[in-house]
Amino acid sequence: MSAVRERSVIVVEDSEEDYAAFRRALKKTGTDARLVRYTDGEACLKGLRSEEGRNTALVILDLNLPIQTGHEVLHEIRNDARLRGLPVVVLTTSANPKDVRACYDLGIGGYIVKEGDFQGFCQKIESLAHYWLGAVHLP
Amino acid sequence: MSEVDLTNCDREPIHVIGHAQPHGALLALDPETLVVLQASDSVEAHFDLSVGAVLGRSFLDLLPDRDGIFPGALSVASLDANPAHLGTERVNGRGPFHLVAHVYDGALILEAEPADAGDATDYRALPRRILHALGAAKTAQAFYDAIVHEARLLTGFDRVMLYRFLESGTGVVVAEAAESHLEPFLGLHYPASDIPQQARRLFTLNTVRLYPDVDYRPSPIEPPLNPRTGRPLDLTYCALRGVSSMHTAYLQNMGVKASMALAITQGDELWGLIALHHYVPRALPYPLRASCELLAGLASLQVAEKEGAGERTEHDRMRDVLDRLVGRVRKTPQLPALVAEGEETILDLIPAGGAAFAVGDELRLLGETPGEAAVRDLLAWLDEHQTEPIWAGEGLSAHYPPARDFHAVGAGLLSAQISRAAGAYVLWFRPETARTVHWAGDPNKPVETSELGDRVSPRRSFAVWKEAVAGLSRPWTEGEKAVAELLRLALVETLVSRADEILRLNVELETRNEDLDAFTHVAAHDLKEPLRGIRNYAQFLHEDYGDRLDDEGRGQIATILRLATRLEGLLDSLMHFARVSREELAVRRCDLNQAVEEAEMTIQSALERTGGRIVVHGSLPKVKGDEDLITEIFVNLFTNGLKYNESQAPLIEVSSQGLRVEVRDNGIGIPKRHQASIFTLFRRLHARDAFGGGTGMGLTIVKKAIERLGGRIGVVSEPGVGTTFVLEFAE
Repeated sequence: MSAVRERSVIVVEDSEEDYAAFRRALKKTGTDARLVRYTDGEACLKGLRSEEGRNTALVILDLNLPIQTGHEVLHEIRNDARLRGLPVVVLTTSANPKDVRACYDLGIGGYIVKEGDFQGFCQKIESLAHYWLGAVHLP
Repeated sequence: MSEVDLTNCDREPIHVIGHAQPHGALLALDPETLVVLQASDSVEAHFDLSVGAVLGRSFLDLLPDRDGIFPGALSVASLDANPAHLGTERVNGRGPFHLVAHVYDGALILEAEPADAGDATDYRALPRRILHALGAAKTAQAFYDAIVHEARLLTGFDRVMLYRFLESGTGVVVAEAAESHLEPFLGLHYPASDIPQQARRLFTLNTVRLYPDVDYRPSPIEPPLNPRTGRPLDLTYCALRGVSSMHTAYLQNMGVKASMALAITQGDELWGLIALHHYVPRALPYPLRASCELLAGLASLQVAEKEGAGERTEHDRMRDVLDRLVGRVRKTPQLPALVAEGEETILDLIPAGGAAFAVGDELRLLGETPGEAAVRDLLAWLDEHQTEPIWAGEGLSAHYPPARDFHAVGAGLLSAQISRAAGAYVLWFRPETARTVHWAGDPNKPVETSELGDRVSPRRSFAVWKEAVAGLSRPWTEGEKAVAELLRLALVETLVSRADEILRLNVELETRNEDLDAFTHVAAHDLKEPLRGIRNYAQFLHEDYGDRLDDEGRGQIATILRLATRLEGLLDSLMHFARVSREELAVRRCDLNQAVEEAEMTIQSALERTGGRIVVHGSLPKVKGDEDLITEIFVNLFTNGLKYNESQAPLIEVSSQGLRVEVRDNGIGIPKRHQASIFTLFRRLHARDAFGGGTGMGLTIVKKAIERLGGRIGVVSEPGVGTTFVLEFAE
């Protein structure tokens, strides 16, 4: 776990409120991951490609983003030899099966729909944290 | 019933009735020798000679001058079936008499009527006056009125009626001139039996009949048989011909003491009669009768033209209305302009009690028509049975029995089928004629016992009697049908040019629909984010500060959460719908068995919660379509079937026949009145929180999805039993 604690979880989320909700939900799980937030895809890619970006453990990606969509960001990550292996979990409003399929086609680690009430959201985030920041062995 | 008197009365041989009216003397002479062979016994009253004293004598012996009018007149006038006035002479020192003669059936028949020495009428002026009066009439009715006016002026009779025969043989009084104190007979109908067949035939041959005194004493003709021919004397062309006892009784019933009838003919057909009544006996001198004959003759010559003019006038009127109607339809984009309030409508075009205009589901009623539901049923029937563009009938119920229910307004129908495909019709309705026919007496009850024993007597009652014969309206004229056809053609043309317009609008509409779908998607998506924020922060407020608020404060936070949840549900549905509407389709062959399985898995938790089951009967077909969309359809139908279900064991059965797939549930069912609206956006049939809530979007999405796949959905449901959705997939 110490490895994760030293490494950062990147959150690409343009909405302040959604980000606040995510942080709050994650905090409830007791995980003290280092969160790095970007509000658009371009900044995210720039960050991932920077020196600090090498320390990324997991990317939490929204699909509905300004400038570049989440799909486009995902596409760039998969086509970048240095970023290709990064685990990406999509966290989005869209429940469209076509979005879901397209994202899995691009090798995501999971697809979480932001829906239901806050408690439901917290449960999902708790599962996410236990699995990605606890159970699995990350590259 | 009415045939009874027709048969009997029609057989009465009134042309050989065997007696004369006594206001003149009637003699049958040998055409060669002018010897009297037969004579009416009225010779005694007029010539002061007994019948016996007259028979066997040459008629010339009775004249003051044997070489007077007779031989000369006989040589110049063609008397064959053509009574001619030979002159005015004294007979046996009596008179003077008007002498009228004709030859018929081997006899020269001479009729002598007293000449009125004091008659000051200027007969030379009469033809011109009559010609002018009739010629001046512009319409058929004005012509009718002129006829009765002139006839009354000529004769001075108390009542003059113009009686017109209709196709059925019945007659109607179309014009009347009468003393003001008399009850009018105008508009009354008379049964065909009132003027029997053989009387009609005689009227076409002998167009003037006068009965100066209905209560006359018949003057027998003696001997009854003509000694030369061995037959009774044929009185067909005689002015003095005796009257049938049936007819005198008929007139007596009406209180008529003197009567005259002038025939108006068209070729061999009897068009009608000028019927004159006087309530005390009244004689008319021969020259005046001749003037009456002239009037009737001129009327006969002109009636066709005058009625034609009337038809032309009516036709011109209809054409004018038609031009204005069609002009208005072309100008305004809406066909219902035909029935616009406060303007000229289809009801002004063709005289009728009511009219209807239908195009597609739209139906407008004007005037007196059957109810809307009845008209819709009729339209459905016409859709199937009207094979000609124009259908006209005065007895609709003979073809369409349900029309019996609306005889009062729609016994007759004129239907112009504009477009069967578009369900476009113009209809005109006419009421049952029985409501407007006023019979003079009950035409169905002609038989009454009388002093004539088992023979039929005329009807005794002349009270107005409304006939209740079922289901016939006034017929539609050829002119009216022609105008309906013209309207139909104009509307068809309008529809065709409109079809191009519709095509263009459709393209435009499609573009706008796409824009709308895109908008819906973006709006719903962008609205969701702040909404989620509101919801989350309400939750944070509750978590962080809930313990510092009282119950009311916490209640208000709960309300914010509840409303935000509902709004989110609505937005989700809207997005869902937008997605189904605009998503690009990945069309390939899909196995419906798999789609159903997929859907079943999707709603697994709902199945477990409700204890419901999904049973597929047989094997479902493969169809062309988008897998996601098809699964979507089944998910929604299954969800509905489980949700609106109060059964202990909810059961959803899926079966198919060809490309028709039925999804049947044992749920609560849908009342008939709601079945049309269940596919409408956000339509909910239950309280917001009943049956686990919902946004009312499911069936809208299903309908959109199946339509995008080129198919259709229908519903059959019975409350308390269940609902069956019928999906028809495209080929």
